[in-house]
Amino acid sequence: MDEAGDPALGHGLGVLALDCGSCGGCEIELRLALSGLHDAGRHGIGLVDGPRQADVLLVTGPVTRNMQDALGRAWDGAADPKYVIAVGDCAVDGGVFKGSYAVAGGAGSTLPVDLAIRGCPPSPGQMLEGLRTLAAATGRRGKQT
Amino acid sequence: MTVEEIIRAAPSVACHPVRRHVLSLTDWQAMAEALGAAPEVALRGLWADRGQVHVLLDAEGMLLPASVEVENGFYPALSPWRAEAILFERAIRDLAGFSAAGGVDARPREDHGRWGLTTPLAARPGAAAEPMEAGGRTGFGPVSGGLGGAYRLEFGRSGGRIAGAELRGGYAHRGILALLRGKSPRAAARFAARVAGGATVAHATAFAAAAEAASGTEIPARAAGLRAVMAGLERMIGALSGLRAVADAAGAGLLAETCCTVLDTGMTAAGVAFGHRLMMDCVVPGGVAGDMTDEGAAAILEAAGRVLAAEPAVRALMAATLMPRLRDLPAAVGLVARRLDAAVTAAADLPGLLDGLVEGMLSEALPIGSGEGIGATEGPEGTVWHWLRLEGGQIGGGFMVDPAWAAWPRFERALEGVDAAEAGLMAAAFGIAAAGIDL
Repeated sequence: MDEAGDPALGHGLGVLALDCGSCGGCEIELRLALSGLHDAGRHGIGLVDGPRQADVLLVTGPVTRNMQDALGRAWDGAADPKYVIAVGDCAVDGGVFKGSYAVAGGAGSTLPVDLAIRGCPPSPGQMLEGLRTLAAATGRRGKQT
Repeated sequence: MTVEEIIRAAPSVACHPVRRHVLSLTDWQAMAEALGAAPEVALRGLWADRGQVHVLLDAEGMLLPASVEVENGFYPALSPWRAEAILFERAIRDLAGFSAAGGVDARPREDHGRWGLTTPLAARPGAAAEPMEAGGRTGFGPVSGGLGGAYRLEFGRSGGRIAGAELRGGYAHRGILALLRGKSPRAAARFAARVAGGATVAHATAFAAAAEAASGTEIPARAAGLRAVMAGLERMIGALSGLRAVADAAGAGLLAETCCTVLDTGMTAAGVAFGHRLMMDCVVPGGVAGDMTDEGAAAILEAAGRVLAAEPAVRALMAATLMPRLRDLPAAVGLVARRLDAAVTAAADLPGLLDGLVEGMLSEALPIGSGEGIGATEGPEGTVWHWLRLEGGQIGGGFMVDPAWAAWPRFERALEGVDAAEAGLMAAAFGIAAAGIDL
């Protein structure tokens, strides 16, 4: 049971995907990153259904003003320690939508960001590398295969 | 008189490649009533520009744009006769500030009271509104886990079955229509390419076609051929991506993984051929941004071949693992079967499209001018329409119709009486996404 991880290392990395106005491009690559193709499960990385189970809030999209409340509530609902990854140019700083009346301008407008992965969209490999880097840095995973 | 006769009797302006007729208040009302008795005329879009409201009607492939002047902030509603008009009328109210007189639903949709202003597309936007509270009924979203998207689905229950489902939107509203204004089509193409990432080629192509029609630009034959290849590849990838999402939601793991493998091959081929796995920003007004690479054709042929080779296995997996799960969801069955057919058709068409490429220029500069145009392209979820009005080479106004506008109400109706536990699976089958509709 490699994917369950070493018991001494605790559980794997639970990722809550937060679409904050994404065009859907990042989600297409994220699905591939989390599929068997890239073996995310082997590294203990998987999606969770809600903030309570989340170690990582993975933000995509420019963070519309209409999503700021929901994003804040997701953060409040996640237990410590918790981390925020901004995935894609939009989530990093608003991307092409920066300056719109309807856009707050990236995950950093609302939450403290621990890791930013640029790209429009980033490749599945870049996304997975980011998640693994965070997992290693936070001690969620020890074994890197 | 028929809808078409009423429209054609009114004076018109050029809206290339057709004409847009400007109706009197009385004729617009007559058109609305006639629409109620003409189900063969589809309502594709309804939007405001300056002091008019425009409707894009489609009489079995013949596009009929029509308009009415807004008077004292009101125009006669179409929603009493056509339910498809409801979401558009709400968007017009929130963005331009014009109310549909006699409309069946005047609730805000895009405007949650968070923008620091109201009616952003109005000549003079209004003061900030009070923030709107999240819906009180049970449901899920806009944070739902998984990869559901930025929307909220609410419904009542009757014996565990869904009653009165409603999708609540606006969460993904980025202000794209305002961002377009005052920019050249070339500069604004980046927004069109990011309306809906899974249909970036379709949106960029429809947007470019509208700009080209408005400015009277003929694109080079090679550019048209490359756009067709990209659109075909996008439909193949999109169909597989959609099928994969349904398989995931249904817990059909092996089917999902199989779809992933072939769709990744398609996206890799897109990257090899055009430099971007989704082909984002590869279509530009006037043509295409760059040529296909030397290795591109071989990579695309290989990816298309993989889809055709995988078809029997995918069909068998669907029959064994997915279709039994959809037994009580008849609305989903046809949609799912159509996705595989669409992937196979797109894959089978790609060799011919590549063969048909001719040598030549990649783009044509758009002349600086004024005019109006409509463009349409077939995307993974259906046809995409764009309308643009150019003023001295810059965008004065625009609108974009993604298939999501039609899919949302269809999905709400299909949920009636469905087991509440299957809402997520139904959303996947209907390809429900917020980006294409929230703009």
